[in-house]
Amino acid sequence: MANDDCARAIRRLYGCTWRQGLLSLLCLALVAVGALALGRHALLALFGAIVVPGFAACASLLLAARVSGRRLGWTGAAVLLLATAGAGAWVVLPAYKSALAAWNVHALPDQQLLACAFGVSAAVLGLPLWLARTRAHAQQLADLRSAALVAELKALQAQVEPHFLYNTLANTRYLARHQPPRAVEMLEHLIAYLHSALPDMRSQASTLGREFELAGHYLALMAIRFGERLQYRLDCPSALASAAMPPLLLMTLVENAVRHGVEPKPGRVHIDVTAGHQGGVLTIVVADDGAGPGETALGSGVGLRNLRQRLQALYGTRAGFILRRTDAGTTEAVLTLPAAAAAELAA
Amino acid sequence: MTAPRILVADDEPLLRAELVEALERLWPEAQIATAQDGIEALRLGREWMPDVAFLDIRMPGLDGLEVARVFGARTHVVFVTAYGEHALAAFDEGAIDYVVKPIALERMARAVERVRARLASPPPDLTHLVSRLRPAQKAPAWLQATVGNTIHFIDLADVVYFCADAKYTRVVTDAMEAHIRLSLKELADSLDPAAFWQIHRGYMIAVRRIASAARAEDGALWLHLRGHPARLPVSQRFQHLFRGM
Repeated sequence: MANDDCARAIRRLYGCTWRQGLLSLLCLALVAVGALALGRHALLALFGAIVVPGFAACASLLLAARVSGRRLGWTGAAVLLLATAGAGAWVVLPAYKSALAAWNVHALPDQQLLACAFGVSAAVLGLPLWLARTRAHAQQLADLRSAALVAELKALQAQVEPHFLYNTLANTRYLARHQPPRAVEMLEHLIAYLHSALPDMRSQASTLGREFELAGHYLALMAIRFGERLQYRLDCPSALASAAMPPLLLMTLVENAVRHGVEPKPGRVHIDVTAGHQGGVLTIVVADDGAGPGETALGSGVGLRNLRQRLQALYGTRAGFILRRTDAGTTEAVLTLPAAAAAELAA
Repeated sequence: MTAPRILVADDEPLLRAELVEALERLWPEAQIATAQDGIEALRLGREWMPDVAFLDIRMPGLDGLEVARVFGARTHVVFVTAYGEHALAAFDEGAIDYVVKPIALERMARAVERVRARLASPPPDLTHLVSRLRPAQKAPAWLQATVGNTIHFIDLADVVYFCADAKYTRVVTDAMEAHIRLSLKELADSLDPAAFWQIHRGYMIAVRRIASAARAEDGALWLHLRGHPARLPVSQRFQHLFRGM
């Protein structure tokens, strides 16, 4: 992406369109004719010596890029551009001197002329290129950020499903009639869950401890709903509780374990949520001994794909996620985050 | 007339209790039995012969639709479904009755009234309706593949290419290679034909990873991949995909 920007920036040095290019040439020709008419030969020669190498440098670069089919890098382009401009000035030098001699005009000393030609090329070609590069980088950064936000938003919108709410409230209604204290307990879990799961918390980074707490409230709700069928254990080492991590990644995995592990399997299912830290990598594992994926080789769930996109947008290749079924019949979702990068996010 | 037998099947104990409570109020003379999953519902259906069954559609083991199909001509079925889960409303209520969770008492009363009125006549055949209620298959997004003894879940977006390997298929991503328990032919039939192209009896490639196709001196066509060192052959039969290259 950046490389295309570079070629475009060089093209812009000319004036982007054919029409603009022709107009520029016309202006140059007018200046040249004017100088000739006024008899300012020295000025014209100096002008030529300065402008021609730069233009030739741009043209040869673009041509080379097109012919070889390779894209230009920013640094490479800058170095090549300046080198070609310098070499161009060197080549133009004899022509400049002989032309001036023919017109019987006193020439500038070689060094002065070279420095002048090179300096102008550097300023005229280098500065816009540098500016364009800064702008392209800023744009790229902004693109990445908005991609991260979009992914984040998608992940959050998927969170509180109406039918989760309806079913939970239906349970609460029954408990309110028969076991009011448990109804209150359930409502408290629901409030705590909604408090963290609703999208107004979008911009905040979270901590591992907080995410475990949220997962705890969700699992407590589910354990009331499913009764004996659902057993769970959450284990977040206290040393890791303050480790920064993006919100709702863990929730996605826990919800997945309930939906695909507990719901389809008759009988008891155990969910284990653990976290560990080793060598700058935070590892979070959600394991369940539930239904698993069955015999189907292909599945259509998009929740995990969203999770991957979110990880990609936030960390690039530094984060990992795998879902696997072990020999023992346990389905494990394993999330690895760079611990240091997680801290960056919180800042 | 003997007391009617009602089977209530729902996997959430409190919701099951709530349904039973509502039925006891609305239909005091009925006998009620409960099941906590599809398999238990099926067993009770066979052994206890209920006249009416209130079946949650989403249940472990065997879902409510499947149970209803097996109950066939013996039992009148009322489906219980979570909000927005199945497009039951699209069907004629005369043929298929349902209540939506969380249950509203007056809706429940209506369902009970209707099913009581129908008890004398045999239940309608639901086979056809039930098959139409099944949600349409969505396009697959990931696949299950094994490496050694572990099953991995691979996002289809990560797949570079598939390669036929004896009875199974090898899937290649940037990060790993694994085996799938489907033949290349079966895979080709279930994947999006715009995203994956079969290019050879033994190879199917992710279209977005194709970098270029080049002819070797002997006339064979080879594909170069984007960001992957493999070179894959295109057999005569599939060369039309690359016409003009």
